[in-house]
Amino acid sequence: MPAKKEYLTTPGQRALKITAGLFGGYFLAVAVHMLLAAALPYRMEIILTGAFSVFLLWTALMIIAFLIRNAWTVWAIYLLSITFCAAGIYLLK
Amino acid sequence: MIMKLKGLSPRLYNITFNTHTVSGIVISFALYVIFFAGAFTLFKDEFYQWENPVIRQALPQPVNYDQMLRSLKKSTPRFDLSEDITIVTESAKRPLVKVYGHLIVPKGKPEQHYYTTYFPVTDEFLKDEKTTVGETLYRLHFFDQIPFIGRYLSGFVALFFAFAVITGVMIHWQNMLTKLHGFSLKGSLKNLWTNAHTVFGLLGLPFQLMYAITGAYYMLSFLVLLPVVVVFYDGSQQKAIDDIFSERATKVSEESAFTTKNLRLTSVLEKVKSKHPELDLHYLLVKHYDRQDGIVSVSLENSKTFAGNGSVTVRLKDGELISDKLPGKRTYAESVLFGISRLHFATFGGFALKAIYFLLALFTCFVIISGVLLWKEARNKKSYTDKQKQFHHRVTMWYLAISFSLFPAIAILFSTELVMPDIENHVFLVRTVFFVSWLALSIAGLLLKTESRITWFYLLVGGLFSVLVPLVNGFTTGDWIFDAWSEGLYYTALTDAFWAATGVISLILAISISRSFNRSSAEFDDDTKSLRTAMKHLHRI
Repeated sequence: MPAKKEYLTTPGQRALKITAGLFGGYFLAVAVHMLLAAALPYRMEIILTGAFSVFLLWTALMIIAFLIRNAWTVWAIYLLSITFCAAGIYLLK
Repeated sequence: MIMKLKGLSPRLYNITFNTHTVSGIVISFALYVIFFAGAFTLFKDEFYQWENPVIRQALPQPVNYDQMLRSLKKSTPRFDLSEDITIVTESAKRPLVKVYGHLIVPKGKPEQHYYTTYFPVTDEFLKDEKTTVGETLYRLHFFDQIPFIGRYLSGFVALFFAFAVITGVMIHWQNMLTKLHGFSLKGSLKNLWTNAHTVFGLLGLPFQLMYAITGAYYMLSFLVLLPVVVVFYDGSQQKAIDDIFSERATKVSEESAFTTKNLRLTSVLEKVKSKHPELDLHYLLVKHYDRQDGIVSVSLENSKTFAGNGSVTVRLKDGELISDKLPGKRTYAESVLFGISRLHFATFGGFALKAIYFLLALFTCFVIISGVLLWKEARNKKSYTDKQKQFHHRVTMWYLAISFSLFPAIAILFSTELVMPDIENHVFLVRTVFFVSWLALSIAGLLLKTESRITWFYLLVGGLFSVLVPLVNGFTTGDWIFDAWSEGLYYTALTDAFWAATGVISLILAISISRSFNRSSAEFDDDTKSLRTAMKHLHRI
């Protein structure tokens, strides 16, 4: 039953995945909501939905961080997406 | 027919499994405390009259808030009637009024908040709580007793709980449909805990995910609000809050003149109540009570439907309706946060709903404990060294001791509240007794060597202290279960009945476990049988 070790990654990779999920996941979850709130005419609705959907998306991003093989890829995807959202928010606000 | 869903690949399965195990073990006992204390918190208002015998009587008439404010002004001359005043109104279960206001300060000085509780039964204002059972358990369920970080800690426990719930579903995705009815008492101990963990986890899934997310929201909402304030409100928190809680944001002018001709709150409330008899008063927000542009916003709720929150705002000068946001007239955005609150506090379906919530919370505690036991049993094999096995055993024992000892400690908390005399630091002493007995009981349990012994010990001690609760109430207040019921103190009687039943059930379980000790001829390591017996009894109940 305990997970088979051969499928798990090295401690360094794991640390990167945890931080990516925790910090990258948080900022990306928030950034996606901000982008939607800036782009769509339902700003208040999206902000208030965020009260629960941010946490759901954050959790999902924490899990996805573990599923992708290489932790650097995770960080790259999350950072690029955050930058994309930030640019969108800046332009649309 | 066995339906199978598409499962994860071996790599993804093992990774998900590993994250589920690690996140689950790390939060387990903290999560148990949250759910166990939280389960009791659901009934905080219901057992309030039990914990505070002084107010075990019906209110002769509804509270007159104008009179209340007048006598508050008399006893506290610095109380500011022109500032915002929030009045949380009384209910039949909890006949006291909470007043949140401000003190008059010289111009330019920072505002000073003022909080007091009005007891209509005794007609007195008290700044501090007189009793603490509900309050202590309520605060415990978000670790408020841990200074500075307690709330954030509990918030992250909730967030990682969401993580554990979703990874758990992913692991069992393939066999989800068969697992729903896969509970069985056959097979090894490991199988038993695996089945229990999976089946009860799946049955409680929507409930658990809801609590993980709403719990995270309550403790970590600043993480959502902060970026909103920075991005859309140029860093002005007040502007954001005015927008989000628009009902509270009706502006009044500082230039407005003082007056004594404003309508009484009582007359406004009478009108509102007679128009909407199905709605209960929740709280009042008063602005400029003694000025010409004064308003009162009346929050009402229908506790029988989910979207039952609403409010009306009335001008105090002429009683004109300024805003009508009663149930059914609210937009989605105006309902989200109320919806979260109703889900979290189970305030939309009466007593029966709370009872279901209570049971589901205990189920969740069972899922947590069976998860820990399963974690240990799965590592009870040759590929682990003795030292590792000892470590797993010790961790399990610690977790069980901390978790299970909360049960007798809560029973002790209830009894102590009534036994402790009404002296100045009553609340502090009651709380101390609770936390010290929790600690002492945890240590006592650690002296026992096996999981079934420790379970037996806490069932026994918990059962004894539970039975004690209604007796203590009877001896100290004279309100024995049947007397209380016939006097109309239904919730007091129900509280006693709950503890009596809990006590009896725990004692029966404890005795049945100890019987199987004797039968299993001094074989201390064979826990299987006693646990099975206990499970069978649980099943019959």
